[in-house]
Amino acid sequence: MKCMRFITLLVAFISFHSVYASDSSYTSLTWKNSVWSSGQYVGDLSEWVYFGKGKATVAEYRAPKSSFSFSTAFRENEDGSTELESIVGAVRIGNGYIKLETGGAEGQLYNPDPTNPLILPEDKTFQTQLNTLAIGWPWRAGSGVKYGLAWVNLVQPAEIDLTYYSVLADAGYVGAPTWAESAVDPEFSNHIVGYWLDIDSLSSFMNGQGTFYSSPTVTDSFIRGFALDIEAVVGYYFSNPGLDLEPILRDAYGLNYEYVESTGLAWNISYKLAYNLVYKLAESNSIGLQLGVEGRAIQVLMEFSEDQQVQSKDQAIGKIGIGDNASYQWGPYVRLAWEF
Amino acid sequence: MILSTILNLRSIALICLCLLLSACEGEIDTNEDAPGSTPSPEQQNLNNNDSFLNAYRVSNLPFTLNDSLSTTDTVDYFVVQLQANHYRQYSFALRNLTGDADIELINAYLNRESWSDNEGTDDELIEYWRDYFDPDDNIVFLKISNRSDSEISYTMEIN
Repeated sequence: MKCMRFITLLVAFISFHSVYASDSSYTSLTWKNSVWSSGQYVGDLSEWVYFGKGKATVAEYRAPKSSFSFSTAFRENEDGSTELESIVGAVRIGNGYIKLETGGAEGQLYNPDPTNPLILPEDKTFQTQLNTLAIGWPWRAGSGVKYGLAWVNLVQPAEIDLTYYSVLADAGYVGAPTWAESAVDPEFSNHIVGYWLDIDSLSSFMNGQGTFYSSPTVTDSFIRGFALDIEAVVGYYFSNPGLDLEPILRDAYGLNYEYVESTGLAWNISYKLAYNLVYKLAESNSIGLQLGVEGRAIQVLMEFSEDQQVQSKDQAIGKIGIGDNASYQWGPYVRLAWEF
Repeated sequence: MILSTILNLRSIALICLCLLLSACEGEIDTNEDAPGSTPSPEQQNLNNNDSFLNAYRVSNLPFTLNDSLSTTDTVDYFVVQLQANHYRQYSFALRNLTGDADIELINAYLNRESWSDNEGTDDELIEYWRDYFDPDDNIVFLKISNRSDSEISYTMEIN
């Protein structure tokens, strides 16, 4: 809670400072379910991945003209405890722009089907992480569109496909565990390095400019309409396993385990689609209400690996299945914002 | 509008490209002609039953066994042959403990069905109702873990 007070004070300080900077800036509070909740986390892995219910409150400050923004999300868990879920900061340096994001949450693995042979680690808790570093430039002044390069690192559970010597896979041993076709690595690290595109609708919407990502209608003191923010990274994909499956497979089947690295192409996209209602109090003062849906998806699209085969009868090969680990997070939110 | 058109065209092109490329994936072959030999389970050796593979096989019930665990040999595994098509309750107990130990019941698919983790030398007991039949060869695994910092002995009873 001390940290939350500090962040709130920091946002208030920045807001106060921006008044003297004569730069239109926006401070907002957002209420939503945490994106790291079971209901919000969908995709291939949601069958085994569980998060506690959590409400998130996001405090954000944005100054579009100077490309400065700072956002913190606090998660309030069911037991009443509060923790910092994510921090996002962005700043303009010269003609460039740097954005940093870090966050994550605790989760737990669970196999709801006890007759599904699936290898899970003994410790079934895990810590997700999402880290983003982007460096870019504005596409056109005032457009809110930026492009550049980015690195995305997402640590989350992943399904590892297992392949064995065919006779073993068909027959197994008498009195031995059923052959599992896959294992879950709870803290598998995915990396994407590539092209970055960021579309921020705030400036164009508040200036009444209609674009495909901003459709404001201005009447008297009101501005209303839909706006869409998109951030996408498309590029080279590589990964690092977080769980050593070697002792688990040796213990279960007496097999030597080998992990095959996966590289390829992947993309990460996040979006906010919202309906905005803004009331202009004065020349540069306004308050707004935003009702929206936000989401995020990460998906590996293509793999560079070559075909391989099991090299001996006591070998098991593990590899992530391209396209099998797509994850999506989404959920509605309510935001109250004010402009100074 | 120009940006919109360009972005839309690029997006469509990118999606089409991704759909085409998504078919590219390195396959892992099971290899019917793999050399070497397959691992051999050793299921009747109480001195080497520290993995699922080498779990000591219990074929006839009721079954009673006195055994021990040390600070280096911290787990014992047993594979228990249940009666096929016979719905009944089984009990798995650890008694006469000289230190803290826990017991887990794990099914043939490596999923934990139940466990008992009482403190100290209190008895451990799992009661398991077998109410389904599926192709699991009618086996379950028992994992006994030493939770103390010294050698302990136990009596295992399966009924």
